[in-house]
Amino acid sequence: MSAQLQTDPRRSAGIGPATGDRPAPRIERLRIRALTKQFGELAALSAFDLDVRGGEFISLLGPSGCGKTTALNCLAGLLEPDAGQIELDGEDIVRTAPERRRFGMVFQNYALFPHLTVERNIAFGLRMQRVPNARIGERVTPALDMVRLREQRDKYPAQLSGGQQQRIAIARAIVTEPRLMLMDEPLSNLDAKLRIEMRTEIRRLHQSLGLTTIYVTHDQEEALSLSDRVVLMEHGVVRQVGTPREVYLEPSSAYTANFLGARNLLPVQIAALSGDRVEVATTTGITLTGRPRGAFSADEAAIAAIRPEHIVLHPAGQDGINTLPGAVQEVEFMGQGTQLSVQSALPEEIIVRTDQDAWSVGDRLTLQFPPDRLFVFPDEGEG
Amino acid sequence: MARSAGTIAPPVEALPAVAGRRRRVNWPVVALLAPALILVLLLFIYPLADGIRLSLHTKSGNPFANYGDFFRDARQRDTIWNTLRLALPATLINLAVAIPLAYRMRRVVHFRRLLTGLFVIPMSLGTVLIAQGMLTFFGPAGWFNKTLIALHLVGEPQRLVHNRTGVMISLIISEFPVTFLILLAFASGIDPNLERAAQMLGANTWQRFWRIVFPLMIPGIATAFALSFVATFAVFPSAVMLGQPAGETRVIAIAAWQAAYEQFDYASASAIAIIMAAIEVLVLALVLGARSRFYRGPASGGKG
Amino acid sequence: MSTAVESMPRRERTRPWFLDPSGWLMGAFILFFIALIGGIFFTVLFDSFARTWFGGWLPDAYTTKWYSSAVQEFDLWQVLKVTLIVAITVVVVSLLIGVPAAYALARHDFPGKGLVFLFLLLPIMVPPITYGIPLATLLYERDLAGRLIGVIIANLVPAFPFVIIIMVPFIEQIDPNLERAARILGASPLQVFVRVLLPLAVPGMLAAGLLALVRTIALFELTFLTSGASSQTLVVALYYATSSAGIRTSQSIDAMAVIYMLTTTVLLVLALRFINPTQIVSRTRE
Repeated sequence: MSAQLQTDPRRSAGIGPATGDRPAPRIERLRIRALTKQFGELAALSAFDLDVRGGEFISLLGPSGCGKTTALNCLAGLLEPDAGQIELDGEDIVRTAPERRRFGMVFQNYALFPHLTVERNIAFGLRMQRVPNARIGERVTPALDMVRLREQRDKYPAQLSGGQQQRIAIARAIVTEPRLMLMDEPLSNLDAKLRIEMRTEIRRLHQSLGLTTIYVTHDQEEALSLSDRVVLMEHGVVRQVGTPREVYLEPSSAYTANFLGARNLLPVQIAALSGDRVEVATTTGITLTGRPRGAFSADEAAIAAIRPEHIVLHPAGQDGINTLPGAVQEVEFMGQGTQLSVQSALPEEIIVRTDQDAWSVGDRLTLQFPPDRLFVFPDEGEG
Repeated sequence: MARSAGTIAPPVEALPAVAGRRRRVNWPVVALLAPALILVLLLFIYPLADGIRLSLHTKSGNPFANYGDFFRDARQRDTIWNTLRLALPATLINLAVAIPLAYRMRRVVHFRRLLTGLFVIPMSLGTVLIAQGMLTFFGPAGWFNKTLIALHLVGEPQRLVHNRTGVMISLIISEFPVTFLILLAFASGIDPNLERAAQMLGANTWQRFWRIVFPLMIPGIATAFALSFVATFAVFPSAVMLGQPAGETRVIAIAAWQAAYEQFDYASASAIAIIMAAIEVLVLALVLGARSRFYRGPASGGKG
Repeated sequence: MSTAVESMPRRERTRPWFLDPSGWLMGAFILFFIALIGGIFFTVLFDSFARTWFGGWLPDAYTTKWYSSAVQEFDLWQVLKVTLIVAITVVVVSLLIGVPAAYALARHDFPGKGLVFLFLLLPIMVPPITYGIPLATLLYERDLAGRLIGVIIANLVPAFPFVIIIMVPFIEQIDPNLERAARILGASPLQVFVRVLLPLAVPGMLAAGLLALVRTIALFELTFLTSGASSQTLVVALYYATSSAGIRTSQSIDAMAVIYMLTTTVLLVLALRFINPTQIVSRTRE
């Protein structure tokens, strides 16, 4: 298996300076069906389905405990799923030992071997594949160059900064030319500035090496900016799969909308339905018009959701569709923009994000919820 | 994340100190430490130093006469060899058993507390009691020989006490727990992600052990070896009770005791004690020196 | 941080233990070791209750008379009294000296701290017989040995470093923010120590005290080298009894051994309820 990998010249050509056009991905497709894992009473993963095309960048996104790491560990082979299939180009690998899967993995705490130099860390996978010593050097150096750490090759991991350690961990994974690249919250231990730099770096490496990447994160910004597709998970179940635009602009449930930043959730009742508009009534008797996201019948309980940045603010007394008067309760200056808490006839305070820096506590204003931006979801009984 | 068990909270004084405060002697700290330091000086360093002085005090005028006598007298000199023949095999056997066991148990969580508790019992019983119990248990009519015969492993009772074997067994039993617990602490301190990372890079079980776990356990192995060797080298009551204190298990501690308490020759008793201490310090220095040539640092794979 | 629990696979991809030869070996070895310790323990126990025991698996008949004869033959009450006086005095003094030192080492950084720590631990790294002979010689010269005070002094040497080695990690794991908070609320350093740290350190002190007690009771060499006829502890009495076997019946020696084992085992089990032994040993590496 490994011999085949290292003698394939097409594959070896993958490591090298980025040339602009993307090398062919090493796999055609990955097909995951009904993957299930139970920890005692807890269903960590239930009936997880996913199709990945070669060369895709997929994020598994969700809060802690949503099963994203369990899914990744099952994929890596570090955990054995209770049921389900993992098919890589038609071959079922669910019983294959992790060391035979030829995947690369980057861990949250990097997991660099502390007793080996940077160079020997990177060479480790090649040694395991019994690549001849002479060839190891030829492949380690370009990998070091890719992560721009050539001068650090004789240092030990403990002598490097967090960002450097992370790049070594990535270099160690890519040098073996993995069929699939798995990343487990690789940026969560870095500070904010470095995190954004590394994000670009990861995307660049993914592109220039023709990798197929599965990336686990709880950070929605990371998932949206990096991925071709985002898999949103909750309680071991996939809630929505789609491109970053789809999941952000067209959330399929109140949960996804809320997780991706629609912080204002209102319990409502369906009043009237008409094509792509739905009229809802809040518990305080306000009627609002929004976009239905699901099938409804009259009088059904539902949830209306809107993002703070989508609410429009007008001076007090203005009229129009979906407007209602309010008073500013709190003002938080956020750097780019200001966040307001507004008290109105709605049952809860509404959070508004605005570019205007003109508001202060006690100001009266008019809130407007543009009907296109106000999603109405079926109530799943979770508040 | 992955704050390994036992992560140490930063000491209070590690907070950014006000400039200029660094150099000042922290008198409260000195006061807290002083009684302990004085006690070590008075009851440990001073007696040893006095022992050296006493050992150099001879009638002939040659200060090293007591040491010379020890090495010239074959019966005395051989005690070093007798002790080594017990201490080295016992220590190595314990390591050979404890290393794989600690490796295998590094992730076992359940009944670990019970097991460690169980292993600690021999430590608390002490050598005298183990020796006393062993006399009957390993004796010709004891349960051990009876079991061997019942299982048809041997035809007749084996002689397991009042010889070197008996002393060796007692050393293994009383030193195994410490060796094992030290190694277990080191093995379970190794970040499990390191092995997972190695596995993802294609390393099988064997390769993961020899290339990752074993190198990271070397400091622990060195520590366990040093402590176990030093303790077994000072074997005393069990060598008397379970061995042949006049013959093959006449260890160096017996020689020192006889000089002091049978011949009342405190000078040469001190000399023998100093020789014993010197050998122990030599072995400790050698092993710990060799240890520092290997990687020694946190056995975790990065920040966090 | 939030994903710490999740990122650690809870059950690794391993075969169940009953299909795993290394698991079998491990289990077999542990059972063997337990069998040895248990065998030794029960041999002594059965023997102490045996009227006679000639070559069978179990004694031929049982009696409790060896316990009463042990009390007379060995002057057991005297020996027990000495043992307890020595052990308790040693433990109390060790805690008084060891806990403040451990606090200083756990909470303060100063140049040469590693060396100070090593220096304080020297007495438990060097076996007692090594320094015991020069120490006993010195105590005899000063007329302190052969008496209770000499036995106590000698047993102190390894006991208080042992308290330090247990207490340092214990104090380290107490959140320093508690002390900072107390300082901010206006407590003086002494008040912080007495009212915040000490109460929190009590379980550790209890464990350290019990373990030191067990160790002191079990420690043979130092008492052996410094005790006189009236200042023997249990182990030393036991040793003398076995080396003068023939005069004394092995059963009454074993009766004494049982009393001794029960005492230490109970104390040890108590101590283990407060502290995890791997924690202690993992700190000995420095």
